[in-house]
Amino acid sequence: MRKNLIKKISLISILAALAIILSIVESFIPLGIPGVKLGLANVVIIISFYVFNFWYALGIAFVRVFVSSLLLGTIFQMGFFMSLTGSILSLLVMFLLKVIFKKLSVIGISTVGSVFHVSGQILIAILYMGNVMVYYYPLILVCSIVTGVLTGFISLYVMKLKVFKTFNSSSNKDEQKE
Amino acid sequence: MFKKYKRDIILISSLLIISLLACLVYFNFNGSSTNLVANITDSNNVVTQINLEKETETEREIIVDGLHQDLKVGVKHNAIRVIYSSCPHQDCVKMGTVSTTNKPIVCLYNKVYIVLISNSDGNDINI
Amino acid sequence: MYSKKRIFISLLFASLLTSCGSSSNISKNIYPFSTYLTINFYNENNVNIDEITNIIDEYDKLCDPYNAYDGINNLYTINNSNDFIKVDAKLYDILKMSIDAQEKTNGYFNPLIGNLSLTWKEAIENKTLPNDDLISKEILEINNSSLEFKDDYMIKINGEANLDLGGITKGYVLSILKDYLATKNITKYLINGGNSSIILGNKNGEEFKVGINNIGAGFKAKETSIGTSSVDEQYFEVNGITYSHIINPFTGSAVSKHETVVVINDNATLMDIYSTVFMMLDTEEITKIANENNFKVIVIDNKQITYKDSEIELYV
Repeated sequence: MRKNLIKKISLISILAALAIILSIVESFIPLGIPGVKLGLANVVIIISFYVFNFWYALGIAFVRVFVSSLLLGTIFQMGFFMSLTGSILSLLVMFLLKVIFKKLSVIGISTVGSVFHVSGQILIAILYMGNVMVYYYPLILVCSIVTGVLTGFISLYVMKLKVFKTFNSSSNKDEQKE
Repeated sequence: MFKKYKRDIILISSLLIISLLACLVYFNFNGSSTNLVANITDSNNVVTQINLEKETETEREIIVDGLHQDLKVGVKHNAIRVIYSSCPHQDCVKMGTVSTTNKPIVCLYNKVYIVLISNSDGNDINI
Repeated sequence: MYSKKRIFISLLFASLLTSCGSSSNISKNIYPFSTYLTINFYNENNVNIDEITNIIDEYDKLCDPYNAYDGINNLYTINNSNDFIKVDAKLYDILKMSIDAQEKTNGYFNPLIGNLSLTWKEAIENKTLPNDDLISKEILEINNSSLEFKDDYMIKINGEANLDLGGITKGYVLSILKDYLATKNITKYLINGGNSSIILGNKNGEEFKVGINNIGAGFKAKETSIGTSSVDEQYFEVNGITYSHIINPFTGSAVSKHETVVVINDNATLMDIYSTVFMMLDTEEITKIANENNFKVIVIDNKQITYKDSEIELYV
């Protein structure tokens, strides 16, 4: 049991660190449309969400948002609040969706999560800047669906790695049922 | 294998269709390009109105109060653009020259946005 | 099958949204006589846009007082010579017409206003009042100068003043275009020169909506021409007094008596001339001249209508 606990703590810390690093790296990759990111760090969040539970994922998300904005120098600025709201909203919705629709796979949940992540961000942007931000919503929405599917696929295959197998997680349960 | 993902496919396709339709609806509103007035909202929420119809073909510069640093905006006949902004991603500058009412220019970092409206009210001529 | 049906329906929907009705409306923007000219035709299939822009371009070069063009004797040529210059019949015609206009308007329209006009143009650019002595000198030059015509299209300026046909060129060219379009049986058009000289046909049979910005109202018109002069076209303010591009050739003053004047009549040349001249006259004089000549006028002072011809119906 103790060995399991150590493994758990180590894994969570690594995931948190990975989320931070990926977050910083993808902030340097411009995608042409303002506000659109690849969502690589979200892969980590989703994996934590599935392998562990909602609370661990939320914790890692918080750590990611706080530390990456500290390191990037954007803490307590617009970007920080937008990311924070987006992360919280997307995790809440993913949790609800997973509980209600048990048959949905990672890909579907991840896409919805992505959609609500950007929706949360745009919401904060609208509250801050005014209705002019609504103009950007449709395009960013489409992009979020695409990145959501991508993130979902990556998460699906990464979760199959042995390192995640030893935990009594939902992904394990699904595998056992088949 | 795809049977397992049937629900996901339904979910994602519907999301995609809705958002693509929203895109089409939004971006098909071509907006007017004549008799334009620019409403520039700066970081102090002060709106400056500039009649772009009365501007000449030569661009002139105006300074707009930005949250972190002032922006340089270029105006000319029925067209406007952000010449300089201190924002990290330069999205507003990259937007280039805007001459239609359906494209706002937003600088989130400096809390400035520019919206063009048409003074025409459906008029064919405006004196 | 599920997804194929879905894709088909969404594509159909998308195509419906994008195929907005296209009629054969032709539109072109050009920039002659330092004016933003827009040309619009509605459902006219036999329009030769090139022919029209060529006509405009030719007059643009002929009436240019600031630039020379190879092989063309234009206003610049006449301004910079002390001798008789032979010009194209078109330019001869406009110049003859401007002398007529000068007589008809009792001198308020004066083609020899070149130097005075330039002085005030620079003043507007630099936002500083010009020297009073300079103005007086230029008025004297205008009074002591004249335009001389000789057979075979020969023109000469006697004296130091220079030609500037800014107050007549747009209207004159639009008159030419109006006749040209009539001969081609083209009736559904709108040619708008900087919102100050406009010729209108009809919009698919309907009237055009003309909005007047500073009073927030407008009127409808078709098959006529409109000339407008407004202080806010080009102006600057010093000590609360507004100086614009409309110069009084007697006093050299750039202060107009009105904010905006709108003149409506079939003759585009006269509209251009009188819209400028009326800015220098009192409302009483304006109404007198308007009634004599069958013009319909709107006079605006301080964002309010001072006078409006009874035949013009305004809508908000």
